[in-house]
Amino acid sequence: MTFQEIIFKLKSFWANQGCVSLEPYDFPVGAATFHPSTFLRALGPEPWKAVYAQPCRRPTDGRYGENPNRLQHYYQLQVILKPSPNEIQDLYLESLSFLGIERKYNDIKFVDDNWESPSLGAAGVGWEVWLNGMEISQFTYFQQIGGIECKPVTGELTYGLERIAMHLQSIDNLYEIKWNDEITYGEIYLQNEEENSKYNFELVEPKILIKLFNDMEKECENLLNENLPIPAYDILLQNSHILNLLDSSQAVSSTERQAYILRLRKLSFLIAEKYLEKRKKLNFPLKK
Amino acid sequence: MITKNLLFEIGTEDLPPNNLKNFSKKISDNIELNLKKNNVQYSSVINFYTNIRLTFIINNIEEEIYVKEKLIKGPPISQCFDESNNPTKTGLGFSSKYNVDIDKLDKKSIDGKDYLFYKQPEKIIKVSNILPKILEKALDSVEDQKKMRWGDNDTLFIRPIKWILLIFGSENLNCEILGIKTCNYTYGNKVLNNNKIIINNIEEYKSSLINENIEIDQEIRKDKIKKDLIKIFQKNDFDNSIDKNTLEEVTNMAESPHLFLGKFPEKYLDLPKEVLAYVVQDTQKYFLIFKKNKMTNFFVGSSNVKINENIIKGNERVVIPRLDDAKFFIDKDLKNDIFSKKSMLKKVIFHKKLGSMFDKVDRIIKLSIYINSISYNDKKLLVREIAEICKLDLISSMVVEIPKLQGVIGQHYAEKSNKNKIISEGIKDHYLPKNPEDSVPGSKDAQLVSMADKLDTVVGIFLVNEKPTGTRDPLGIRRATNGFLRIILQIEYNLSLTELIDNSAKIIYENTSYFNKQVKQDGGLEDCHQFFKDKLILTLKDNLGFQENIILAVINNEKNIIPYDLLKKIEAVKIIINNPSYKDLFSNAKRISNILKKSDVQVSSEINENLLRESSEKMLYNAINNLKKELELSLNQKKYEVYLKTLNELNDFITAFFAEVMINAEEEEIKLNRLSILSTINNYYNKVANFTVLAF
Repeated sequence: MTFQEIIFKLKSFWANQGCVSLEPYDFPVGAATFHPSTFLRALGPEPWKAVYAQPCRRPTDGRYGENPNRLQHYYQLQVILKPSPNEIQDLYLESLSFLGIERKYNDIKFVDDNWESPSLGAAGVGWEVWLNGMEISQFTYFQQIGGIECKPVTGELTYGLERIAMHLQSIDNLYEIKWNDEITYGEIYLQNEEENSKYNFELVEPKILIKLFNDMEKECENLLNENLPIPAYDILLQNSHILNLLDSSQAVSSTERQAYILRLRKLSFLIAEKYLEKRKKLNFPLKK
Repeated sequence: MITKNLLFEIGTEDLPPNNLKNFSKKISDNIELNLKKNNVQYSSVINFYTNIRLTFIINNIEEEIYVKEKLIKGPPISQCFDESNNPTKTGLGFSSKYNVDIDKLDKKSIDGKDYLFYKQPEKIIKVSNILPKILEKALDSVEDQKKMRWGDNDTLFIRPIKWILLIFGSENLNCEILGIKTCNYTYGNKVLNNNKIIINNIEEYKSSLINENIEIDQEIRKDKIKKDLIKIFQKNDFDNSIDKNTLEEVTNMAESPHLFLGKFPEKYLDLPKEVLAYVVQDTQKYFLIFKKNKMTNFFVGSSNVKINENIIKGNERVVIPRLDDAKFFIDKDLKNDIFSKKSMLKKVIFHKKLGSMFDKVDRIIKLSIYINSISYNDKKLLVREIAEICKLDLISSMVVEIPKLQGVIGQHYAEKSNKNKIISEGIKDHYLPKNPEDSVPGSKDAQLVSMADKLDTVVGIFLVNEKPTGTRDPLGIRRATNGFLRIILQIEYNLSLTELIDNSAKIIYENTSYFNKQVKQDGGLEDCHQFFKDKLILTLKDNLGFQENIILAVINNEKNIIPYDLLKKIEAVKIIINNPSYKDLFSNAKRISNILKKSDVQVSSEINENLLRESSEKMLYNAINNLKKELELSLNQKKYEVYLKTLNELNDFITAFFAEVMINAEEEEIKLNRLSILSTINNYYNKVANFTVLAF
């Protein structure tokens, strides 16, 4: 099964479960959770079901294209189910068997791994899903987002697409993943990994990024004063990515990093609060 | 009476394996507690668990509780009715509690005062009616349980509940627990069929699970894993070593575990073994395999389904990139040469008031050199050299990635850059001992650095008034203190704890910018002295097994606390305390001390020979003089047992002295001289302990 077929199949599986099929978000994110369709939609009482593939950037995970299992740019397939249904784990296992991964012949473990995003003020209880020892998914029940208790609770399923493709195609090196029958993952992304690793680790200019962070933070505050939480959130995403770049360049000490995280968290709290207020004014339109 | 068994199974999503054993036991204890509280008669509660089931079986529950007729005392009549004899709020409150008319209540007089009484008739409670509440309470009141929510309901539990099976005898109780309807079915093996199975009684439950290949009994499951492991060991000639934590985790993560032997390429055995253990054991939860005490490139993993080639291959495939990643970090760090980047430590915070790791290292250097000067006093020791680089691996990307590898990684890098063996081992060893089972650092050099590091942490935290409280101890102050005391008791030098703390405080005051601006808070320092003293007493008692009264008799007798010296004294006292030939030493010590206390005058310990009158007095004086040299010698050599043995030889002279001599002589001079004799002896006793509190 090719990489693109995995995406097609998972999207159609979950669309059949009633999920809205969405496209990736257009700002850099470190994880599919940052897509507003997850972060913002998890707030408040409105039900929500969505599925989308999301390219993610994690600058510190770059390995110059040399590690067969690590990337600074990779894909997640995200499923959001709010409220989380009772049979969520079974649905997930069914989706795997839809891909041809049968639980009778594979060791599938749910390994305790609670999730926390300090910069989003978010926390959840959940598991890593292991397929024959390899982490292929993350499964989380959101308890809190932007400092606000989640009620109802959103269930989040995040598939690591490269890992799943490696399993299905029985290969050890993700650059050899067949994207379709003609072209490999490496042919599309190897140069991208090499160049971005060089940038992330060696050429990030902290001064520029720190100034940008400060300016963007002001912009975000202005937007919040104008009661516009959605564009404010876009700015937060960009600052979160800037912090990740500062991290990979090792330009900030652990305390400085902590200080930046707190600044992000403060904004994410305000955004969550404002967004929820606005939905409330609209009488929570999706709550039918 | 007829009894029934109760079957209670909570089906959940995967439970956290770390604390599962305790969690299940706590629920079980809570069930018993609540059964007893409600007077339910039963014979036993048994708990079982897997990764997705918590099962409890209560055996031989008596179906009914007979409650005898009972008189319940109410408020005094005077408070129940007003002047016009109308019932008051108090009165009505009592009657409505038992749902009776207030006029129907009895009145009775106790000690001349009239009270309302309710005569509760005898009744029979059906246990099946109260069981749901008992079980719910047992689940709900587990302490330290991190509860979560799921879906759109208000139920709180450690993980989402999928079903609750509840059968009393063969009856489906069909009630609600934690807001969830109970049922009479369970689910089979999640990975095989995941089918619903109707259960009518405990026997059916047990046989159904066996059919589904589920081993519900954790102990049997654990034993099976152990046996399978040993089979693999024997077949391949591996060492018989099983990591307890991994065994527990593997047991708790499965319903029907199957083991397999996997391996990774041999070239990774070059990685530090702690890194291998981290990846293979901690992260992947495989058993490490040793051959003749050496780590091999084999591991044993577990699977919830029957093993096939793909499962083994898949698991083997995961280990390689993880090990590769470790290699990536290590190579990057080695290229970086962390040892040339000392100023990078300024970016690593130790504590917001006590400064960066750079500042801490500076203090460790000063303090460890000082401790060397008052102990080994050996300029050849590489104390400064270790102290200067012992924290540098904190800036390495490997330790940033996996903090628990601190020390180990520093040692590895130091070896790679051909540092002296004492120095490279010192980097790892200066963290020792972390746990009670750890040994103290092997070299004198590392011992000194370890002591300085720990002392600086503990004293520093007290000086900024952030001493540990309750369970809050983020910087591990208790652990650091215990480690420090272990070393100081072991290195056989008479280091004064009192002076060490004061000197460490001095170094912190002089070298930490926070204290330039801040008024010194000496209260913190006093607390610190007391904290160390308390911990020393605990260490002597719990780790070394000395009796508390001996420890206190010795330690409370000293102003300047010298742990090693205290230890020697305590050992000596321990030897003599149960030896009958020393009985008189204790009683004499007490008698002398009492007389001196009562005398209420300044007594010098100078004895004037010319004022000695009686023969026993002279003999005692001569005996003291004859033994003086011997006593001083053994005291100086810290041979306290010999010292006490010598002191014990005075007993006959003291007895004779008391028999013949009146202390309170008419002439003041003579009286004072006699008290001086006693004071001299008293001083000798006090060199070791306050024997009066130990006297029989």
